[in-house]
Amino acid sequence: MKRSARVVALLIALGSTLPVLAGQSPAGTASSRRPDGNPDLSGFWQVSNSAAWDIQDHRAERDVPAGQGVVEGNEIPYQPWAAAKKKENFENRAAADPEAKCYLPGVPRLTYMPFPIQIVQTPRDVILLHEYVHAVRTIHVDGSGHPPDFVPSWLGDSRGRWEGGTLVVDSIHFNDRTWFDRVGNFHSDALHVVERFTLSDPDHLDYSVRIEDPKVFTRPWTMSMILYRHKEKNFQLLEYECYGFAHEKTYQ
Amino acid sequence: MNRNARVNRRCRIATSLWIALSWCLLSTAAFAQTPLSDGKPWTPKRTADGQPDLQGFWTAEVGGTYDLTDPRGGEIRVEEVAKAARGAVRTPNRSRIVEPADGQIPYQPWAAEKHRELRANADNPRKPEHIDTQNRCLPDGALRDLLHGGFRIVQTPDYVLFLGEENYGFRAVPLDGRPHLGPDLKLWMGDSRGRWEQNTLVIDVTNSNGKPRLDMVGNFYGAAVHFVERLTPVGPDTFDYQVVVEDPAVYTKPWTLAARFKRAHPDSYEFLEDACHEGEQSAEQMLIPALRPPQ
Repeated sequence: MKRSARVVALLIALGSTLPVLAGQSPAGTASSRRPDGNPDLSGFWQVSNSAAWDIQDHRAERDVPAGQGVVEGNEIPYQPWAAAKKKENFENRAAADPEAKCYLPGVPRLTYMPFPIQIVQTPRDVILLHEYVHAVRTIHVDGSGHPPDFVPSWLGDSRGRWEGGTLVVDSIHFNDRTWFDRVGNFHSDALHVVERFTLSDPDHLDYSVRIEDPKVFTRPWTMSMILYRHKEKNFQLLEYECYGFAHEKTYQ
Repeated sequence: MNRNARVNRRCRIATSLWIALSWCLLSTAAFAQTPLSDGKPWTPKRTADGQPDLQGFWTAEVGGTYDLTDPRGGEIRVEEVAKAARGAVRTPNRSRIVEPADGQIPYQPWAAEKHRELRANADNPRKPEHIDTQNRCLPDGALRDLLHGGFRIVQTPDYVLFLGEENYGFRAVPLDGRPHLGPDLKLWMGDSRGRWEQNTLVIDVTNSNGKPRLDMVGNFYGAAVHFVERLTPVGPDTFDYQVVVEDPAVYTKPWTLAARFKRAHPDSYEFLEDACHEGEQSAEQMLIPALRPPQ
């Protein structure tokens, strides 16, 4: 396994202690509503799973914890050609995973990378700041729709709306260059993602993702997981400058 | 701590007494007025929680980070070289550096030598370290992140956020008075802590890894760098920026840079994706002699 992979695995292992830390911490209060009446999602969040490695059930391997799948029903309904492509991806995963090149991991993988996320809300958008490669994702919640002529991009175009206590985010205009995980689950540029963020209590964010891609799958399918709130005193985002590691010695 | 007290605190830790004395006199005088402000009284509007409101989209009045001492964007460089080949002599722009008065960064001798080499090889790099960090999509670090291009400021009761239009750079500046990170945690963007002094946002930046360059011609700092940035709104669509840069391992004394920023877009503007590393294919090619532009 490459060194970077081991670091990520270590971070996954650290992440798995988060619920324990959260349970021990008396600090951190969450006002659950903003002045506009919508839920307040602001704060620091992180998954506690290894979905970034494999979104389906998987056994442990060296430096990667075992994990129960986050795919509902544990089945991904690939079209026949796509099932063969996924198998090919798996065999070449160490080099072929775009994330291994430090590229933006796409949506929703960016959300379940084993790194913290800072959510900031304004009246017009919900901004996700990611420790992983300092990625920033802006979800527009100002009632605007997807622009019709948008260049396909790594993180797509995200428009959100509040449905009761749930932030519903509709994203399209993706490129076809990202995977859902390290084992080669993939999509095309026809990817359509609908995410739902729901506070189940002040410190837990239910996160469900509906995946639709008629070029690759026979039907839509869904992932679900929980984002846990970081409650450590003075918690803040640090950095994981993935492609910077190769250049650290150049710039002394 | 008031402004002069802070200056004096820095002065106490300066390495050389005569340097400290002369710099303290100069910098105290410089701080007594906001150099770029037109002096008219201005009461900025407030956010819902009472902070002066700096929110929106901004860009430096003189943009770009080709050369801090002759500010302009790198994109005009090719044109300049072509004009110079035809005998044109260009007049340098006014240095962004307002202290010392000569507009130059006060490097220690070894650092001046390093900078001379980096500057001489900026356009046609011969070694990997001659290539500007920005060309490799590496984070800008404090100061350069604001001069680089457009950025958005978002304010919450607890944070001021700077969101860059280019290469996703961001800084989340907590306002709650928390201490800096421990000294072993080094970051490309450094560790920012903010506070309001009347209408001025003061940001103290430490914990840099010392690796981001300040501009494309090799101006640099090291891991001991300490930035104190001051953002002061001077009109509805303008704020003045002043930053004191101190690094006792690289400079003979602290230096001060000033810039004015203008509102760049209406609040409804949306950034497009700028995935820099994902498309970067040319940095290493700069080292291939056959691919260099003609001299």
